[in-house]
Amino acid sequence: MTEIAQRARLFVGSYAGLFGLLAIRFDTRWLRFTCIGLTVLGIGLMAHIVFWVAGRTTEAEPIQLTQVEDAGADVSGYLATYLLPFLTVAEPSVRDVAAYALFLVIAGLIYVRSEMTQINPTLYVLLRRVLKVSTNAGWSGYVVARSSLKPDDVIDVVPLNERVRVEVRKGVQKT
Amino acid sequence: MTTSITVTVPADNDRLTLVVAQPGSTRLRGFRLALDKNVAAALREACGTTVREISVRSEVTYAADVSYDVATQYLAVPAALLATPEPLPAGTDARQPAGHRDATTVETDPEARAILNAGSSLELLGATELRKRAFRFYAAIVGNDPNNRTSFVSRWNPYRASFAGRILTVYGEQLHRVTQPLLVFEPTFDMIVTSEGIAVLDKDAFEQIFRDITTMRNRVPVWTKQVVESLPLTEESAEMIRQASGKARVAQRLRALFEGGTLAGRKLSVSQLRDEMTNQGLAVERMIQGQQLVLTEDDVPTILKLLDEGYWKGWLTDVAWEAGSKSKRQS
Repeated sequence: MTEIAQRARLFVGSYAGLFGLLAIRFDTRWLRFTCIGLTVLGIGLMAHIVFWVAGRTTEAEPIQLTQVEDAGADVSGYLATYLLPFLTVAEPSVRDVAAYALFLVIAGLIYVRSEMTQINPTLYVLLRRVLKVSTNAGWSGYVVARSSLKPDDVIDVVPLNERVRVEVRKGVQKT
Repeated sequence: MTTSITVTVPADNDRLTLVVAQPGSTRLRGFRLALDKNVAAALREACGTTVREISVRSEVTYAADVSYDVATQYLAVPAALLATPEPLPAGTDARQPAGHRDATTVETDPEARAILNAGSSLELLGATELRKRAFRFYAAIVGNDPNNRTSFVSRWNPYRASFAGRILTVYGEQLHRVTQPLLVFEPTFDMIVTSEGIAVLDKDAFEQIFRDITTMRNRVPVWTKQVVESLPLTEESAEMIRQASGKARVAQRLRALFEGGTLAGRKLSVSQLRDEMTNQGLAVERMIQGQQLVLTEDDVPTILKLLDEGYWKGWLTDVAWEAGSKSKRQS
């Protein structure tokens, strides 16, 4: 899968909650079902990453952490985009739908072309945390962690992309 | 020196990181490749095959000019001998006096080892980024402690087939074109790098990966300096050696002399040189003028070989021989 496709997948996953809210808000039938579909797809993609790719198919590697920082604050800022559903009307006109779609396209472009890929509220819904870490051998990035981590912990991870890795269960050694 | 490097077959639950190293214009760059568990299992098996291959061979301690039987022996480079030196300040005495060949060091390119040490923290290389990249080696880095992993290294560009522009196909019911980048790996590795040292099956691979003379060129002045200061040279001859040191084969000879400690702390006299050159049938009258050694460009490799004890005469036939490689006598 190309980097762009990977990021697009993360984007859809990260906005799964937003699509869910839109589904609740919209009365228009086709819009509601479209948003429900996107919600299910987004959650499914994230669940696939967290429970399938990370755990079963990809070879894990050990890393030792030297710095750990919670990226939760960044996630909170990201949640501001979730206000969109509360600005919508229940039965939007064609122009309203075009405006919402344009907003999502712009948000998607920014997401795919920036470092926002690691900010993903849906991962928190799946009981994961996003931590900003550095390793003893010089890598810095984000780890989708199963629990809180601290410096000197050795964890097994699988790569999601260059900047994001997912912690896997087996072989966790904590100091 | 008796040495032993412990190598073990990787266990199924040992984590494996696959890295590739790309030579750049000034330095070696390492990358990580993401891999699925089936590929990891196959590479782990190749690691196991390499360990088993080494375990049935006898060990020979590495030296730059060592000879060994590639079918029954492997080379051991103990960690105690490995050196990743920085250039010495001018005027520093590079080596302490050494009376015998056991006092060797083996200088290595620090970049290759840094890549192996970084392992799972290296940059991830995506499939789309493979285009137009040639790799000097790949390595499977195995182990669950990121600070103490074992590296299985192969001098092979796994991307060679795709990189060369060949038409790649896979044969099922019919041939299908392979459009994704294709990476091909060897069934065994050339060497194993552990905290105890390096066990080498392929000496050329070790030389090219860890001791490539072009990546160690900042060390050449240090090796040259020791030779120049050990000989009673005219200024022109000293300059001749410095200029010749730009050639890879001469640089390798200079490095071998330095690492072997042959000249460490020694200042050779004209009479010593005259005697040995006479014994070996070299052009003494031309090369020794007055109390100094006068060399042409062609004489430099000859003198370096003489210093490295690479000439001798048959005791029965008086035939003059020169050594291509040497193996230290065990008794």
